[in-house]
Amino acid sequence: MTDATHDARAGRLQAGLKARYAREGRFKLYGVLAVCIAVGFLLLLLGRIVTQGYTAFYAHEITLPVYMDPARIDRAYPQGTNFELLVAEQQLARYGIKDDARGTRATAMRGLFSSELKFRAAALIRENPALIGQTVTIAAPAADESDLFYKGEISIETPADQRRLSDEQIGWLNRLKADGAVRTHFNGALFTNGDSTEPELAGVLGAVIGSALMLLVTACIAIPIGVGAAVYLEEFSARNRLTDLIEVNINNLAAVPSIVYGLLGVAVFINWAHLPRSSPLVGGLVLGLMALPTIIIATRSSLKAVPPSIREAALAMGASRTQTVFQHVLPLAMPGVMTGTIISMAHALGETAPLLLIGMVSFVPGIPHALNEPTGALPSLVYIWENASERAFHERTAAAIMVLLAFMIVMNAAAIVLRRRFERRW
Amino acid sequence: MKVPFFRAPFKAPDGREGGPADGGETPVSAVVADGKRDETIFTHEPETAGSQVTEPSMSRVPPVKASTGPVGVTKISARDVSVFYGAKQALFDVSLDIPDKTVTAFIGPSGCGKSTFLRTLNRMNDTIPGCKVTGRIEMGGQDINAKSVDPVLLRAQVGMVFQKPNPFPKTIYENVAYGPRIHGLTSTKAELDAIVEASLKRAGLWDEVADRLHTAGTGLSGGQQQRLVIARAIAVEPEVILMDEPCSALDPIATAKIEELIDELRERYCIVIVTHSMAQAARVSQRTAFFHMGRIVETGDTEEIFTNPRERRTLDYITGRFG
Amino acid sequence: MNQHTVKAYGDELNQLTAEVARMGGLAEVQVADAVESVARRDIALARAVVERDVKLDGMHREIEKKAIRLIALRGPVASDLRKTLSAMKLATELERTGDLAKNIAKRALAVAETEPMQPLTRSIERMGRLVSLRLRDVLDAYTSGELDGALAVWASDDEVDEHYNALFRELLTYMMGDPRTINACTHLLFMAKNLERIGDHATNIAETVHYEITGDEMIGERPRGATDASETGLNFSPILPEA
Repeated sequence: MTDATHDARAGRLQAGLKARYAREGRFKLYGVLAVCIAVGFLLLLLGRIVTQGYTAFYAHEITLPVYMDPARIDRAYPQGTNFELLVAEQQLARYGIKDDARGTRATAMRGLFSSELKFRAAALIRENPALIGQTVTIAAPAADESDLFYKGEISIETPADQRRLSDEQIGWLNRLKADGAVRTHFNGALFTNGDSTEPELAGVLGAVIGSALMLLVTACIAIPIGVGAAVYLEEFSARNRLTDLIEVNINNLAAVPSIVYGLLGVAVFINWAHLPRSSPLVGGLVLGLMALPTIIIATRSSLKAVPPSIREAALAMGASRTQTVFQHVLPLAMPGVMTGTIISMAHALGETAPLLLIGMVSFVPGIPHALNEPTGALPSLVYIWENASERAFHERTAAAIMVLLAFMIVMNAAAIVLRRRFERRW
Repeated sequence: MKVPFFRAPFKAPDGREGGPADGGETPVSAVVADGKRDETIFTHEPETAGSQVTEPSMSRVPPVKASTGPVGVTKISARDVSVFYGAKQALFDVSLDIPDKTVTAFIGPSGCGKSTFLRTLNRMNDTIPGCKVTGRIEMGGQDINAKSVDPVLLRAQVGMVFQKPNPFPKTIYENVAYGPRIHGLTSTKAELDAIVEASLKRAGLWDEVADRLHTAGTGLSGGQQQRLVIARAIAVEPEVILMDEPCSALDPIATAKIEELIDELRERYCIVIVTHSMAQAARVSQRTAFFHMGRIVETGDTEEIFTNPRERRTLDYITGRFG
Repeated sequence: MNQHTVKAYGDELNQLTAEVARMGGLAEVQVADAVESVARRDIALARAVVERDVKLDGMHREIEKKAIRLIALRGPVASDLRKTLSAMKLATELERTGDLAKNIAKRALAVAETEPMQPLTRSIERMGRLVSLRLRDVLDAYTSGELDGALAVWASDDEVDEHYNALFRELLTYMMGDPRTINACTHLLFMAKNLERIGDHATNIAETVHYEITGDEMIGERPRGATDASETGLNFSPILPEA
């Protein structure tokens, strides 16, 4: 190569270099842009939910002195007493407000406090009947609208048709606050109570336990069957048209819309097998079927990723096929299997459509105890609360979403941690 | 006239470990300084180590061990073995006798079928779908491809070492203990410990890993890993050890160590080694078989193959005149 | 130097050099015995020397075979290669030495039938002893790897030549003095020539040993006697005995 051609070549290389670096720079820019957009949307969504829901985590409590009028309390049957009316009338009296003949004002005053009040009062009397005739201090949660007022969601400026509180009630609430009877505290009820029609008493515990029970059933069904099927298909079965067909179908099943699984659940589990509707058993079965293809696919690809040298080494030592798979291949594939399993469980946790179809949209108070009782689940709880008419459910829906997201984050984090811990180099 | 002046060079004495078994010390001059003659050099004298004759200047000859042994009885006998991968035939009627306590090397260009034939000896080809083996391979009087022979048991008798060292991702101890454990060769932990120690010693690895038996086997260097794999293979006391290019991934020093190990191992085991390196086949083996395009071209003593092969193709391959 | 990692390789090399040392020992014995058979007019000894030469030939073939095997199978390089090649060269030199000793012994058989000539055979004996010593020294240098020993032998090649020249003159004088001794003296002359050739072989061995140890060829002319022995006779004016 002469000097001239050498220089020309060098010149061409040099010229092309600038364009190449420019292209690379642009590509990097696009990548960064894409990540920023994605993160931006994520922050937007999360931000909206958090700003909407954080208020649900604290609630207001009103403390009142209550005179246990022996004339109105039946010693033998304290819960029959209309404590709410009692308290309302006493409070009216304390404020020096005269009630009309129909007692509308008393009703209005009563509406400021939660119905929990009467249960607390009755419980006090039941424990200590000696309190009859004395003045006791009872604290009860503020009613949902009162709570919202104190949180600033509703004010006197809000148009009258958008609030249930009358101006008079608002005035009373202000007086209560001025008297120092109102206290803010962490809304533990959100986490310790089951669902309720009263927003101030509504909690996610029932749904959480229901979801947990359902996940248990899902895991018990999907993991053994999924991993077992994947191990068999990958390691033991022959490679022929039938197994190819099976593989294609499994891949397709992973893409089937979840509501179809719900229909399947209704048709097979509820109508044909007569399993109890809306129970964690049925929910778990349906979600298990839904998680199965994902687990099979994840397990298969983890098994495929184990290098054949390990299998050969084990076989050459005289290990049988089964020993090779269970003592060598599967332990090495474990990180991938675990990740796939946990992620598919997290996915199943958030599925709503099949649950709706099998009937988990109904209102279920209380905490579930058994697999065959009707329960709620977190996603369907979110759905129910979102559709509820009380305004206070607004913030609670967002809070329930946050609880659900927290669950998912914990499960995904667990997947990553477990994978890191068990990843082995080979 | 056979004069017993020196011993025959190809006699294989027992007990190669330790001192000169052939008593290589012989005095070199019959005339000592004072004119007396020493007739002893002309007689057959069973020398013991350390016995010198008169003056130090006479004892020039250092003690040495005999380096080669005779080729032993046939361990594996293959007749008309053909291997098919689906419709494609990879081996054509290969017939070969592999002697015991000897290193037999398979050489040949890439794709000539030597690895394929090696894998038929422990039925590893069974694990490849669509692979068919015809012909008869006899070991211990039995055809190993017979239905009555369980490949799992066969592989306990015929161990294999692969090209890339592949220790299990377990501890060193667990690697070596795996074979005896799954075949139920030991009943107590003490026995297992003894087997692990003996195998690692025989593989020349004990001194280097005795203090870290419970660390990962994959943390060793390439040469050490290969020796670990060999220790793992000999832990089940096989009769045959197959090696598929065991040194091709190793540097020259590690290779030399493995070759020395093979030299020591051949006193106990029948070893078959496939190698790309003709120099290695020349160094390490006593018998060599040259494969070409799925057939055996020539088999013979390594010395003959590398000094004066019978077949033209062998000569061309060895001298690099191929293609 | 460390041992070879593959012990069998080191063993094979050592065996080869051991074989050469053994062959050297036998060659020494042959030379010594041949000279002695001349000195003592020992016919049986001379015959034994002639018969033993076959062994030397056998050893030569064995060493060559071993060396070829080593080169083919081990592919030696550097010092190992020099060792192997030196072994082959030495075997050749020693085989020639043995042949020369055999010739001396054959001639000894012939000389033994004639009148004894003490002074001459004594000279032969002295020369023979010198040559034997040189052979022994150079073989010692070979087995011990000592360069100095080899160099000493190489440098003293002229001593043998001087002995030869002296013997040549002596024999000529004898032959010219008494023509009846021509037969025996001619034999003795050839013996002296053979011994001088053996001395040369010893020098060759020294050069080979030097190459094996250093890897360099020996530079420089071999030291020779004052003049070339073959020229001496032409310039020589004999002292004739009184007729």
